[in-house]
Amino acid sequence: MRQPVGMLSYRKMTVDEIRELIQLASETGIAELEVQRGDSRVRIRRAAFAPQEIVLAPPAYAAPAPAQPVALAPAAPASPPEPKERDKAADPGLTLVKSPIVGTFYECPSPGSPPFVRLGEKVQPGKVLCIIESMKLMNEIECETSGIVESRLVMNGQPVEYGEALFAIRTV
Amino acid sequence: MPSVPFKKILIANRGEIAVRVIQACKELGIHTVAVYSEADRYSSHVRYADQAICIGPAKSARSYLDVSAIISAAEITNVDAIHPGYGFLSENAGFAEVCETSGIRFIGPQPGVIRLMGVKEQARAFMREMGVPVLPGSPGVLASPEEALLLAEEIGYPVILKASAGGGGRGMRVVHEAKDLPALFAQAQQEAGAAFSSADVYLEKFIAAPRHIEFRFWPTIRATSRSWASASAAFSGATRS
Repeated sequence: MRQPVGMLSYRKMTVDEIRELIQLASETGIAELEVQRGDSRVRIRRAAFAPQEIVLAPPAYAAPAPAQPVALAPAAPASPPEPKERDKAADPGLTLVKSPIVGTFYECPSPGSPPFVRLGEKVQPGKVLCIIESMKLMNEIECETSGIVESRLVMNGQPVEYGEALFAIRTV
Repeated sequence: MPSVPFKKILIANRGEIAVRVIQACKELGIHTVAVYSEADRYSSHVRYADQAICIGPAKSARSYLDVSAIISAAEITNVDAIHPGYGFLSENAGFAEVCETSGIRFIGPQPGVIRLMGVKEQARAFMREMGVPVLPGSPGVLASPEEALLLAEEIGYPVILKASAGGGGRGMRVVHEAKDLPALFAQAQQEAGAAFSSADVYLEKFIAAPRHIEFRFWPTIRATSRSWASASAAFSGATRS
C-alpha cells in the first residue's frame, strides 16, 4: 500500500538514483520494485518475471510520460494489480485457490489458534482453508480440489482483493 | 476543519467518470483508490488512481453494484469517504446508509434525500411545499384512468404519464388525445410495475421542447437546513422573475 510522503521530499528523482535502483533490483534478485517520491514514481520489473499479459497490455497512461530512458510518470498511475500467482500458474500440477471476495485474510479461526491448514498438509474438497473477513463477516473459504498445500501466498491479516491467489495446491 | 475534509477517498465507478473524480482529487491533494471489475483491469481509471482494488467479475451486479465488495474495498484501504460518481450506486439510498453505518462518508445526498427524490410524485410534492414552481399535474399517484382523464382535461393535452419510481425513460407515455389515454395508462402502469416493482403512475403537463436548467448546490459539510432553505428561496425567486 502506497503512502504519501512528506511535502519536503517533493522533488524529482534523478537518473542516477534510478540507475541505482535498477542495480539494487538486479543485485537482490527481486521481481519488482516500486519507489515513490513526491510526484515521481518509478517501477522496475525484471524481465524474467514480467508476465506476458502485462507486456501486451496497452500502456493506458492518462498523463504522458516524459521522454526518459526509464518510465518516470509524473503523478504516476497505479500499477494494474498483477496477481502474484503468475509464476506459480505456469505449473500445470498446481491449482490456485483465489479469493472470491474483497476482504482481510485470516489463516486461523481466532487469534492464537492454530491455522486451518499447514504447508504440506493433504486437503480434500470442502476443507476450510482460511477466512476472508468482509464487512465484519467471517467468510470461510473452502478447498475445491484435493491435493497438498504447497504454498500460502498471502500473509495473515493481509487485505486481499477479488481474484487474488491465496494458496497453491499441488494435485496428486 | 481543514479546507479539504478528506485525505483519501474511494471512487465507486469506472472509466471516464472515475477519471474525472480522480483528476479533481489530484488537484485537491486527496489520495485516490480505484475499484475495478476483472473486465476493466487495464482501464485508465485503474492506472490513474494511487491505488486500485479488484472487486469482482465483469458483471456489474457482482462488482460496481455490489455494496459489500465496495465497502470491503473501502475498509481494507482505509479511506475516509466514497465518491459514487453517477449511475451505479450513486442514487441508491441503501448504499448511502451502509456507508454511514460503516463510518465512511458518502459523497452525495443524505439517504433520506435520495429516497425522497427517487419517488417522483413525492419529490414534486416536496418542491411545491418549498415554494418551487413545478409543472401542473396530479397531486399524487393516480388512482384510475378516469381520474387521469379528468385531470388531463383540466391541464390540457398533451400530458405525460410517468412511473413514480421511474428512471431511464421507462414507464412513461405521452398522451395527445383523450381517446388514447386509457390504453396508454395501462401500458405505463404495466411497464412501471415490471421495471420498478411499483405500478404507481402520476401525470403532468408534457413539455415538447423543454430547456434543461440545472442548479448545483455545493454545500460544505457544515451546511445546515438554513442554507438549503435560503438556496431554495433564491431558486424559486429566480425562476419566477
